[in-house]
Amino acid sequence: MSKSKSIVYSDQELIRLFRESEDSKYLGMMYQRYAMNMFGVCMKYIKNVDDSQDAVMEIFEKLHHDIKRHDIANFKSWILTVTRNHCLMILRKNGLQVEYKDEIEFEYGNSISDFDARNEAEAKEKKLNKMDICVQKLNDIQRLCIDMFYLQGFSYKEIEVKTQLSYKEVKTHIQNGKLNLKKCIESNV
Amino acid sequence: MYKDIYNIYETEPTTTISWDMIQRYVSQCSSKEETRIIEMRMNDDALFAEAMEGFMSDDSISNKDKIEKAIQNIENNIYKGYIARQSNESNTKTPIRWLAIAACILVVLGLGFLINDTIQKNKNQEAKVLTINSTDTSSLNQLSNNSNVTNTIPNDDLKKDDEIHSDTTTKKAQASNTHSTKTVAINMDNSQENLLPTLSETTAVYDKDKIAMVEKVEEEAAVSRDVNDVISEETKPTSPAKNVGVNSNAPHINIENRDNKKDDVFTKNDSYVAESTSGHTVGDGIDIYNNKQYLDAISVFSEILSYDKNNMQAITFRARAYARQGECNKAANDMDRIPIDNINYPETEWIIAQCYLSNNQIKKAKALLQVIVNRNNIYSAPAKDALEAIK
Repeated sequence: MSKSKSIVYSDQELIRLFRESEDSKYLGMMYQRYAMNMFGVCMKYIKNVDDSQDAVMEIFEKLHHDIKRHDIANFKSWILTVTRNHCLMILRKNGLQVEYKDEIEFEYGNSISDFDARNEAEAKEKKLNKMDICVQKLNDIQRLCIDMFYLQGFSYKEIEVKTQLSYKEVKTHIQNGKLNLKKCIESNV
Repeated sequence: MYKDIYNIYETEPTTTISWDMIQRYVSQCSSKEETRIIEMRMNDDALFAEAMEGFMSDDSISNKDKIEKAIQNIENNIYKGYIARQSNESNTKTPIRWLAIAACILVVLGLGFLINDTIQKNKNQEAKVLTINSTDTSSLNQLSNNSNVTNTIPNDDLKKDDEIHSDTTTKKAQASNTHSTKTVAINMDNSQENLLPTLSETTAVYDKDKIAMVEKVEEEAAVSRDVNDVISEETKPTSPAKNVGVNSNAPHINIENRDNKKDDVFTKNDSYVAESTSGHTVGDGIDIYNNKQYLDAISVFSEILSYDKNNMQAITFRARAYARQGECNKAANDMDRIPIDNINYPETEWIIAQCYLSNNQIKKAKALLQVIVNRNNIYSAPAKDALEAIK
């Protein structure tokens, strides 16, 4: 454990090492990297600290086997899906109504994952050239939020105050605007 | 103008976001830089964004301390779980490793025994590979012809057999009614002069073709016997056996009629590594035996038996050599040392029976032939014929 602490492995490297050696330490490193975020996701759905803690531990047990069986291209996206599904399963098991995110947020979640999965550095220049055009194509609110967040450097809270939108709306507009930008740039490249 | 937006493509965050940073952000106490870092990450990282939603929920804010503890617990439990799992893995791997080693040792030992056993079997089989004699119908007919000479056996000779060897042989017969030896070839003396029943020794082979051939010959012999039932009653002149001291009045069992045949000829086998002091191996002895130098063969086998007294090949072939030499009692003594289930036993028994007949030890011959008949093996039919001839 101490030996591996000095080395910073990527997620893919850790997966590969775990599959090759079946040594749990690589999985442990991966969990320590994402445990907090997984707990946060569980808190979002389950809304109970103890249950969320248990859920994270259950996922840990489950993933020990699942990680060997699945072809994982992007661990971060994959663990999010797994965590989310596990929490929803717990909710269903407890007979609670599953409170799904609104459509926009769901779309956002997946789109970010896609974004992460495809880093097209070589097309950077082309994309930048297209950026101006694509920003103009966004709807007003999205363009406004994107402009305020990325160009003017306002925080969500500041945008919330300036636009009279809620924190959640600001966040959603920025993220959906980002998704639409991506789609626009991809389609024109 | 919008080039700054390009950081939306930065998917690999370089700044570590600690729980304290998150706490400060949630409680709106974070600096502008920290806020920027967290919000940028929220835009880039779906997992983090959803986690932040969880941390910013009312349930989380109201349980701030509890959440902090829970996160610590999770990290500790994950570490413990990793340790426990690792020790479990090593615990389960260790016995498997030992089992694998034990299995390997067993396999190696098993193979060793198997190879050793195979080598031993090969040795025995090679020693037993006999070339079957060329058996022709005419010689079989001769057997039929000669079956009429039973009357010539003098009763006095029967009385001479005061040494009863049948006790041991009968016991052995009871023990073995079946034997792996498959075939027998009845070989007759080609000499026209020898009109006594001439039952040459039979040869055991494992070759299926030869078995088939022999069976065919036996069938033909049976047919010939039927045809020749009315063969002349005249007792034809007999000739003494070549190497065996024989009573001229006694029925002759010519055991040396090998001029035109290769009876139980053994090839020298390198596997017979047992060496006499003169450097002879069992294989050498068998070669000598095949060359009909029975006295030499006896000395070689005796020499080998002097230091390897349980060498079955040497005992078997010395018994045969004694029998060929006319020393039936010595042959019988050697035969008594051969286990009844030994593959060489039936043939040796048959050769000794021939020896008794040659030596006019009729009582012993009859007893032994009867035992052979009762064994119901490949020598039973010729033994029965011989018995009938004696009667």
